[in-house]
Amino acid sequence: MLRVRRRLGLRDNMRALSLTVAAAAFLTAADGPTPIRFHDVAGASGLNFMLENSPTSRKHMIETMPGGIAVFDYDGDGRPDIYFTNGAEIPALQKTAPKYWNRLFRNEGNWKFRDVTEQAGVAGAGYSMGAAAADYDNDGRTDLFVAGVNRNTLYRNLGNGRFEDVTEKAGIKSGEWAVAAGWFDYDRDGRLDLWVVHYAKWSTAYDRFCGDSSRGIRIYCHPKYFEGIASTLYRNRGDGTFEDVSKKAGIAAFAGRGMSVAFADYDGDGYPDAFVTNDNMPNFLFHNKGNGTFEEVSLPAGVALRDHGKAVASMGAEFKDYDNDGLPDLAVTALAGETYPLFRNTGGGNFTDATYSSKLGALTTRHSGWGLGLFDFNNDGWKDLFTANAHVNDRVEAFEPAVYRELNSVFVNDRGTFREASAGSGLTGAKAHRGAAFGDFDGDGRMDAVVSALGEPAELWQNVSADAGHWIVLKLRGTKSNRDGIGAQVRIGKQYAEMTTTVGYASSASIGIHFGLGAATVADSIEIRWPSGVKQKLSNVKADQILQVTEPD
Amino acid sequence: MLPALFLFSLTLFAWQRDDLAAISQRAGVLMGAGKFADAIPLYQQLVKAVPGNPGLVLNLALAQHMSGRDREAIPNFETVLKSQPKSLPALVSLGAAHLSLREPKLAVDPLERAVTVDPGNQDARGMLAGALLDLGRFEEAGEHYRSLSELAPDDPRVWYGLGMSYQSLSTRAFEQLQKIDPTSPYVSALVADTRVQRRQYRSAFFFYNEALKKLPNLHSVHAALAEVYRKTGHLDWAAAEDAKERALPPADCKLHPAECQFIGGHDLQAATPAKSAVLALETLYWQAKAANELALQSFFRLGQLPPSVELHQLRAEIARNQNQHLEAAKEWRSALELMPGNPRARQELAISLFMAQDFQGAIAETEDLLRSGPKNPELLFVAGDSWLRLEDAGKAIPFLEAALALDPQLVAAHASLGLALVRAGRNKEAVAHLEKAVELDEDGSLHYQLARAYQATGDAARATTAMAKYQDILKRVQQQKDDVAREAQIGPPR
Repeated sequence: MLRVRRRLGLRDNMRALSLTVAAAAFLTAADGPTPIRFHDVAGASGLNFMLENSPTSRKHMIETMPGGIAVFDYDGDGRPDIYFTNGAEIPALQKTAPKYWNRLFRNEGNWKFRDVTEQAGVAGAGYSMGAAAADYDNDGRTDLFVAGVNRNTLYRNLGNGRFEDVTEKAGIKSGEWAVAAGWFDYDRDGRLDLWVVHYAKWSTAYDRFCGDSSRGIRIYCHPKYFEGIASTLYRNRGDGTFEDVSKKAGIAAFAGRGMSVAFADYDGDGYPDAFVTNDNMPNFLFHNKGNGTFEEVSLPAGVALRDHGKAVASMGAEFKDYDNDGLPDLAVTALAGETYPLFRNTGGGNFTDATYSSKLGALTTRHSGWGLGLFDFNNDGWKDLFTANAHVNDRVEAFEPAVYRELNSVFVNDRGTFREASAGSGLTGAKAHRGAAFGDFDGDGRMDAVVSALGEPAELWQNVSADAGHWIVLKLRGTKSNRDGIGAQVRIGKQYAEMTTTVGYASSASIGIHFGLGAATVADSIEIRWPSGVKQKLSNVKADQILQVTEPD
Repeated sequence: MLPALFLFSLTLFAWQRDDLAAISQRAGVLMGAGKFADAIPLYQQLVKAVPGNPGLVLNLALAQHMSGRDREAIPNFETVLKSQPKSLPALVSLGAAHLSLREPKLAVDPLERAVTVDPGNQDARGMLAGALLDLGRFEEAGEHYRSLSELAPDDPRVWYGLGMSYQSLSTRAFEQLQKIDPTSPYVSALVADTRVQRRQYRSAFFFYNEALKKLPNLHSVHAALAEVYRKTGHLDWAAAEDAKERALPPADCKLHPAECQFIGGHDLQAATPAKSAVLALETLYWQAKAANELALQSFFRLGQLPPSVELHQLRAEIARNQNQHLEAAKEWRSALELMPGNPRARQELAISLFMAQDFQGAIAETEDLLRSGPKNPELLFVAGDSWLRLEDAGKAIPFLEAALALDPQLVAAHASLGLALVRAGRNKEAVAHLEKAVELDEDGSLHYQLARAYQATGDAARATTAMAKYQDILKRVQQQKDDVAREAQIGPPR
């Protein structure tokens, strides 16, 4: 009898507990940020891209690193299209079959995409890694740079649905392993310059065995075995050619194992600065001195390393204001056990490691990430974090308590701290995810995502968040400044953003600037500071629209 | 290893009152039922009632020992041995009691006497061998384990103990060698051997060649180099090194007896040179190699027996040495299946999980051990640091503070607590701990943390100094890595 009563008591307690949990969940849902929901529509949309990384038993490092994506409107129809970089046959490093082609998918509306690679002439050559889209020649058409292993390509958009390979003509060098690139106007002359990030010296002859030979397990070698290379900065001369100014600008002396680049004017001096993630080395922050040169300040600024002082496998980066204090912060992806570092800009050129205080550390310590995007996915006025997850080492499970294939994650921003929001977000499918890019593919004001994965079909995540707030997208048209307005600084209320097309890992998104407005149906004031220095103010702007803004004279 | 009970017959007390006989009988029943603690007061009564009876004192001592009250049992065993110096149960149990109290030095004498009384007593010899091993008397431990290997060839504890004795001998010889001349080619050759065991072939290649620069005719090094070439896929170079080994002149056995013993397969003589032998570098080198060989043979025998705690323990230790901590944890889990709940195995499991960066697993084990067992600073550190790695400084801090309360010299805990306090926004407190920890700094990270903490507390001058030190360390470490990388390229035979 006693036992029966005890059992009943236990059941009562359990019931009480489950009710408490349910109530807590309800309260959380009611009090916290609006839930974010995605739905994978790749299969039905015609976006049938497969990333061919050509894995070999020799475990060449390049095999685990491709996957950059560019989202941009190549044909000017107002709908963002999608470009995927792709691998090549190893050791030839040639796209010997169509399966290795880079692919351009035209957005035909209503979540339908069509492969226009051949017509556009962008199938590419060699083992491609990253993509950077922007209108470098200010002709109103978005051009494309593709970074790759010992081979880069610059495509000029001809405006008739076709691109021209102008690499040689433009004076863009190849020959090193480039992973990522980004466009910005470092000298504010109104012409976009190009920053190319290199990983390391490497050739197919490199054959170091890493792993455990007794168990027959070969793995990708630790980055420490690769000698890093400095980034290259190409200054746009404005005549269709570029000048390598790396030495002159003072960046050639900084060899790293670069993975990504992100730009923002972190110290508010009007000149865009560059942050480069390094794999298992301190990151670089190149402060633009405004005289055509840069100084590397990552250590004093506090973004070289996390607070523990050890280098991590920094992958992708976003240089955006996550806490709405008007200063661009830095979010980085890294491997399991390292967390996804978050450096909060505290002003005066200083950052503090906010990985712990933002709660992102505890949420990400078991994840490994590549692509990422800080965007306001629920349009509540706070930028959330989407990460494309997977480990770098396909045999990691034999050596560490980590997993190789992972689901993607979304972390919702709750007024400056983050909450795990992946469960129930619809993000399914554990894969070896790599690149991620973002755009509003259906024009509904909710930011969607596209993600690549090694050896598996790409994913297209339609944002179906039911209770998303109001929004606005600014599409800038520079006149004195570069035509894309890259580097323009925009404030709406407490929110701050800079126009950029670099995103996350080796990827690009030329989609204007997206703001979530929450319950507001009108943006009272929009302040724009153009790269030229021209200031512009818009008042009482209606929400839920894509607004074209032209730089005033 | 505990001796069997020796219960004295009630007939001894036939002349006494009936109630004493009844007490004695009750005590005997309790002992038989394993209720040793309950038997103690009864035997105490009997000893008081019949003073000077060694049988009763022995029974009392046994009851105390069996119930874990070893400190009380020891004087009683000693009393018995005064009147009966060859009492086997008293000798064996006295040794066991000292071992339980972690007093191996005091255990040796009674156990040696027990072995003299009964050379075939496996329990006594096993305990004696273990005590000698703990005391660093490896040759003697090895002798006893060797005897046991004949008495109990299927006992995995024996082969494990024998292997550990030889391995310890080998390690000691290497350490002596290193102390006498750290730049000796013999040191290089032995370091290379360990690199081969860890499959670090580039490093092994470098050290073998260092040894050959000074001792080109040292036997077995060319053969070892050939093996490195084979492992790294350079079969033609391996053949060349094999040929060099074959071409070496035979060793002069008068001048190099240890070398001859080793090459002749007389490992035991090489591993245990006469005490009078001069500890020449060469002798130590061959002793280290021979003892290592004997250890491998013992462990091989262990591996041929059915799975045992000792086999899993050995595998775990090998995995740990190869930095394969997940494998080590797997082995400790298997060991625990054979001896559920064993606190030492659980502690080792917790540490392996921690080293494997399975911090959740490490926390589960350590917190449970800390709840049920004594507070141990290392375990408290493991729990605290694991919480810190899981980005929960709030949970980390109490564990780390408790670890330092027990052992203020635990520098790693100072480092960990420093970082936890930084994350908790308590920079001023963090500085004190980080300052105590910087002596540990091998990669500059602690100086970096200290610089950031100084900066946060407004001490710009110290922040600058600490950051400069960080950069110095970073440069030095990078330089060392570059040097090793340059030197450790596997190339053709030199």
